[in-house]
Amino acid sequence: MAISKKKSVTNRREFLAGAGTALSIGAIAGLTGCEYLADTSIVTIPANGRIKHNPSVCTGCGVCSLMCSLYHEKVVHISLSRSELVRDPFEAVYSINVCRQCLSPSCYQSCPKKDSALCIDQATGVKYINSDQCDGCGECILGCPLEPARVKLNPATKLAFKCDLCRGRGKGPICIEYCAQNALALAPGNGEV
Amino acid sequence: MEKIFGWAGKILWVDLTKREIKAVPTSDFEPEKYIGGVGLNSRIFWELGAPKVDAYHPDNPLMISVGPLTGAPGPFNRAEVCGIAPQSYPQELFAYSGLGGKFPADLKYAGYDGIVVLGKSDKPVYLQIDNETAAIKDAEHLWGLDTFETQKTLRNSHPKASSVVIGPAGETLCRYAIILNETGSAAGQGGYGGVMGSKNLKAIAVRGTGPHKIANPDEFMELVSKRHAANEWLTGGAQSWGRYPLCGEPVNREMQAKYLKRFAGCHGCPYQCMGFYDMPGIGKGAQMCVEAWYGFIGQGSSEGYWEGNILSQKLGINNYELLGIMIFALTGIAAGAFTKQDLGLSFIPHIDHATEPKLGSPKVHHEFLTELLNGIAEGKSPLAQGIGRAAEKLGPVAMNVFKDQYPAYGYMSHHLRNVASALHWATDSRDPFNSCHDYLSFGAVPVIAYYHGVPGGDIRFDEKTGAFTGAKMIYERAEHLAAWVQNNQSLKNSLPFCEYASMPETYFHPPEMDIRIFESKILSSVTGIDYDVSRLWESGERIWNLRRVIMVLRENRERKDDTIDHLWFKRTVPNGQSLAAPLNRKKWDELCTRYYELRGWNPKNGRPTKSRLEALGMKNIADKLIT
Repeated sequence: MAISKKKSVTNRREFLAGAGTALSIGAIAGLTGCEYLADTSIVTIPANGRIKHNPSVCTGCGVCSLMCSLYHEKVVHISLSRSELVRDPFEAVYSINVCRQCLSPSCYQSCPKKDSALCIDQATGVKYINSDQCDGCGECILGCPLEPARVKLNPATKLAFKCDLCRGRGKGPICIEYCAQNALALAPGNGEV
Repeated sequence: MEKIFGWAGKILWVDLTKREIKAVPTSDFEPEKYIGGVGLNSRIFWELGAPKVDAYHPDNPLMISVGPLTGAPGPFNRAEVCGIAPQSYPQELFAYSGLGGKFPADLKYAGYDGIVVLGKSDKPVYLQIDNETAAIKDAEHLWGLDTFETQKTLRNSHPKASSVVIGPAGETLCRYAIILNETGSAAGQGGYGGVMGSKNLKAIAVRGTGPHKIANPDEFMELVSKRHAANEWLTGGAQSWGRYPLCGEPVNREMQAKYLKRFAGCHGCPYQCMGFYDMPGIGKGAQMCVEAWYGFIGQGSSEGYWEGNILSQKLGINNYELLGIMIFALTGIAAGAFTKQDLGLSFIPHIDHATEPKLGSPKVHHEFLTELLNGIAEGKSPLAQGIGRAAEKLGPVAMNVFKDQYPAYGYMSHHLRNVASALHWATDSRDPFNSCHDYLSFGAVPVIAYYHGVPGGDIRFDEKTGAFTGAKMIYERAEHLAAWVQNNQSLKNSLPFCEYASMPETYFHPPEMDIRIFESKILSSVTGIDYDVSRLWESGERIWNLRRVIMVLRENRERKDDTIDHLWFKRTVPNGQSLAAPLNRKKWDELCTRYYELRGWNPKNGRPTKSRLEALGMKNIADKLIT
């Protein structure tokens, strides 16, 4: 009784095409791309790269911040996400508060243990926190010129955390990978705050 | 306390009469067995004694529950509203209605699996939840505001909160008033907006900033990444009728070209199946399928379609019922059953402006929609209590027009297509349209049929020609298909798992992956409890059985009640969207007997048997049921 998956899909498509209703046209679209992809691509972080948000296509779903906390903290917790989504669902206006990887990073300059706690990746320019060395003094948070500060303190561990573009993750920042609207991208840093 | 994953562990319990708020452990209601959403609500309703009161009685509990998956990234961020439904006709029945948006996840992040509201406030109030704390607050300043204004006002006082609210229709106890979150996520069916109104509860605002704990995050991520890689949560059929209005090409094209601002959807879901439109002079908001109720009929104007949606959402009226109302009005007037004046309308564009382009100018549509919708929201329209109750007063011909569109407990639209779905309608307590996509003609039925040995439905695969044929009215093993969809529906409404993002058509790759395998894996990874397919499936069956027990005990449900209207045994509505032929009484009776036997129920009276309930781990419930 078993029929092959490929055959089944083809026949369904033919069937739907024959049905010709407005609804089934949409269903055909859903039939494409059903094969699992083995994506092993490695994402290269551009020099002084940062997360760039495109508000004209963002739908405010917040998958970015959920995946962020899940990847980094192993829990879904928007308060522990490196990026914060700001939503106005009545205007469909959305923005994201995330570290801009400044060229002259005040957080780095403020850190009493810079280069051991708050560090700069020499290859990419990414500013990242080495949790083993962080004392949770909060100077980096005070030093961030942005409002709200893009470095935050984890209330449970008393350690600072911030976006490090998922440093060490072969596929690059997880928020970009899982943004279904392609509203996030890696952009070369231009020094702006 | 043992560490809990998936569930938050608490239910917020509110008594508006006594003005008391407490937190009750979710574990009091066997969440491992009843999961969440409809299952959890039904279990709570059972614990409350399934009260035999009217929908607007203070003892009717308004229950809003999420499930263990709610809060996680994926199409899981839904809540289910349950209680005695004022919309049910002729009898008010225990039913359910779901909504997405942002509110469900925020409720979980605040630390709650659900909210139970009992009693009635003596003046307008709203419930404000800020993580652990909750308070009943004065809502005099919100009463009378539309749903958008109410939410915007609440956002000023509670900037990071998400709210579910009622509009004027809920305040006047319209039987199909909605509970709305944001601009397009509503619990529409059931009339639970009226239940909120009867309690003088204008809104529930929740701010949640806490965690949703996942037992095996790596496993969860792996499962999510596979769905992502398979493209299933990125594109799919539902997007085409959710993002764009199904009102014919001119309107569809114009809306996309001029007014589509961007896509929209529920929190945490990559599918984003809605479209957000901004039409100056009329308003902004999201649409998803039946939001185009006014534009579905005829080739009207973009302005009419959009005002129909925006005005109904603001007033808090169920769009699905409005579609039924339009069909009822146009069919009934054409049949001479009643006049437009009988419906409280001075004109209807589809009749009085039928020869004009777009059925009249935007002003014509504005005047009609204002008269119809304001009349409903103010409680003055003869239709405000629902079509069934209106048809009773309009006479027997009107009643037949009604029953052509309302075969059992709701408006059929295109969700009564085959014998199996008729059986589903006959044995539910509301229209089952939120699960009927499993029956529809998008190829879903053969997929389920072939991989689960269920040869029912309206479509068959012909191995000789390699094509699907449109054979209809198949009684053979239709009970298996109905029971499969019912168990699946019970799970989808309890985990929860969005109907649109889980349709077999976009989702089914057996044998390595079908919906049950995925659901059991994802629930196991989130809760840390080992749900294999059979254990999960048993939960679906258990939830369906509990709802049946409630029907039997509270509503005296019997075998004789398990039917769609007798007219459907004599004739059908020839619109190509419903049953192909009248039901055969003998075959139907045999089918019902087979259904009860498959369910392990007593075929004489349709009651669940003690032995079956005990086998499903429901001894505590079986003990109270005389079978």
